[in-house]
Amino acid sequence: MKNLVHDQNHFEDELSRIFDNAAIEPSSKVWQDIDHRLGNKVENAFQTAFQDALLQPSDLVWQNIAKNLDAPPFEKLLKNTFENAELLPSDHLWKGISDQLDNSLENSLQKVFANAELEPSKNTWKGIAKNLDSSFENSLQKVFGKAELSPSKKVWQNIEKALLPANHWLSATIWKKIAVAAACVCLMLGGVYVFNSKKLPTAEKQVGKKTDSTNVPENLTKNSEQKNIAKNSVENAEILSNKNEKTTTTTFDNNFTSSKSINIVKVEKNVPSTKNQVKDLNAQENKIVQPTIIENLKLVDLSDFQTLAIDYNSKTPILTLVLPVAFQSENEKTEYAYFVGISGFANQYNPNFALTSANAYLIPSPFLAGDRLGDTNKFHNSLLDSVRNLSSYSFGIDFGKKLTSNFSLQTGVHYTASSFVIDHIVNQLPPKDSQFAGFGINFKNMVHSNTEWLSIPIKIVVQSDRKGLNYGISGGLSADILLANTLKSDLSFVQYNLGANNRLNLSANMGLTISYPLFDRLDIGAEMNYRKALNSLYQSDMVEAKPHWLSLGLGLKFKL
Amino acid sequence: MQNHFQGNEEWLISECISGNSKAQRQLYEQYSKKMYVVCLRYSKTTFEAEDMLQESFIKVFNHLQDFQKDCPLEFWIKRIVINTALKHNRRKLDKAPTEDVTEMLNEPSDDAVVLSNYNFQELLAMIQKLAPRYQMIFNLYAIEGYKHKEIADMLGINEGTSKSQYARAKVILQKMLIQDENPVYEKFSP
Repeated sequence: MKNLVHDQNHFEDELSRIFDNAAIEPSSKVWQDIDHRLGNKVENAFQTAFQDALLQPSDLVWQNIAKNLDAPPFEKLLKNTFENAELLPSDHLWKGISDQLDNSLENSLQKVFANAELEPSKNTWKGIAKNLDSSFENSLQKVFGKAELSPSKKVWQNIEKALLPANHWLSATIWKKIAVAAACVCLMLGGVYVFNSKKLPTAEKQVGKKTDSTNVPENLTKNSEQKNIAKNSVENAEILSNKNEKTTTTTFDNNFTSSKSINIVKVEKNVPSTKNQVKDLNAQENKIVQPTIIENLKLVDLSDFQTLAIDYNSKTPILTLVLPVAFQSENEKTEYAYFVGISGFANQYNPNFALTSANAYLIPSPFLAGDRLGDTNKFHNSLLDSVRNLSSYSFGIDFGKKLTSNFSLQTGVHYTASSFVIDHIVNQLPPKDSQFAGFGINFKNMVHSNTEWLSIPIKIVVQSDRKGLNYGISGGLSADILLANTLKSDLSFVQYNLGANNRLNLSANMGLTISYPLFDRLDIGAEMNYRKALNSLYQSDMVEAKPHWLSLGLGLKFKL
Repeated sequence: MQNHFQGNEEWLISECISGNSKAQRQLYEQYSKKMYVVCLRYSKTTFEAEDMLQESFIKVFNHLQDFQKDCPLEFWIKRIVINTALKHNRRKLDKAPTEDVTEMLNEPSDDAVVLSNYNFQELLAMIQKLAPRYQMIFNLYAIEGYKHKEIADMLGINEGTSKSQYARAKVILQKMLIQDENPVYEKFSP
């Protein structure tokens, strides 16, 4: 049985082996059928038919295509759609989030621990208490109770420096400002004093004289020159070439009587030859010589007359200028491009006369007008040497524009008044038919000149541009309109005329300035400047006057 | 109100108020040395102390007219000096790291140290070695004599903090003192 089963399995295995790789070629009919079925004639026919087939789609289709082509791409549409898409989460979801964000727990914890205190353990307190035992502290306090050490000197120096402003009712800054202002005033006053101290000795100071009790000073002289004039008339006046010629002195040689009363002035020969003598004489001479008129003359003993001698050589012309202020300090804030200011000056003035023709030296002077006049000390000399009391002042408003941080252009309008006195001794001759013909009488005269100008300067100012005190220089031209120019004589019978005036004049100026900011927009400044006329004040061919001024001034400038 | 001033000091104060620089100098000379030591106690360097002193005296002179004369002038000046010192130190405290003070509980203190053996310069040097907060609290409590409650108000801390930090400072200082009394010669000891 067992062998039977074995044989049967063997048979199946053998069958499997035989049929596993068994292959039989199908019949040709089968192949034909298959070929027929696989033949692609129909497909080819369809392909051929539809290969170039075209059919116009309907308008609707085309419209849809066009619409889709114009529209943004699908992705973009999606992106746009979802980009700002918002959807309120459900209440349930929100509640969950809210629960998560709630800090009530933290708040509770903070509250709990904020004022939490726990008594430390007894051991802790014991340790602390032990350390808090006051015996240690008492010992330390004793040690340090009287402990002293000297700090460095620098400490006090710094304290002193810091206390400086507090020691004054004004702050140091204000104090500095006031100091600068005061310095400016002192500078100006000092300058005026110095200039005025240079005034020339006056004629009366130079004449050493003794007066009698009547004290009406008259200088009655006779000299050879005058005698010559008396005899030969004015037409024969000589031309003197020596401008420095001194008045010669002669003593009248005999009694001289007149029906008119004359107060006599004795003029001694003591001509001051040195400065000390002049000073002594000045001290003695407190009385001002009064102008004399003919009617007051009394008969005098001419023998009593001595010398009238005047030395004008010691005179030194003093000159000056007036300039509109140049408080050019522009402060550090360059945004203030413009400024307006006021200023005032004290000036030292010099008319600066010069004789330009020989005719100016005629005797009697061609500048004199009057009856029977002589010219004892020659007016042309007086013009050059006997000008004194040269005072002047000016004030005005200034405008300016800051061109750069260091350059400014400035103009303004300034009024200037100047005056001076010319000492002159005029000689009046007696009438020709008088018994005193040939004897002239000298009268001391003073000619007062007053000149007023309106100046419009324009100048460039170069200055430092620092915080605080600034320095600068200025220079420019000024148009000077002559408002008035008078020559007034003390003696009514004699007049002086130097010629017609030039109404419009031109002058050049230059100056030094300092300024200091009082406040943010207000500067105080001082200026010293020099101005000189470029043309003569007179339309004359015999004399010219190109005045000049030396000025010291103060001003305020408000920045706009 | 009790007036603590008689004679010369009254005059000195009025002169200082009116800006008399000589009087100011005299007042400064009178109190600056003591106040300098105070400043040194609250500072780490002499430079810092002089800075405090300078600032303090400028305040003194600028506010002398506000002095009510209800206490000795020295106290009033010292209060200004201390306030100035605290102001200086507060700046440092903002930057200084906080320290754990709990460990001090285990630190022993040694009361056996005799302070009288030291001069104030030696103690000063030790105080200056303390951390700024300890230094302040130590000075205020141990030397100035303020209460911990007052110190707490002055420094804006809890009273307990003041106490514990003071205790810690004291321990540190006592350690320094002990170390100073028994120096360890590690390298050179035989």
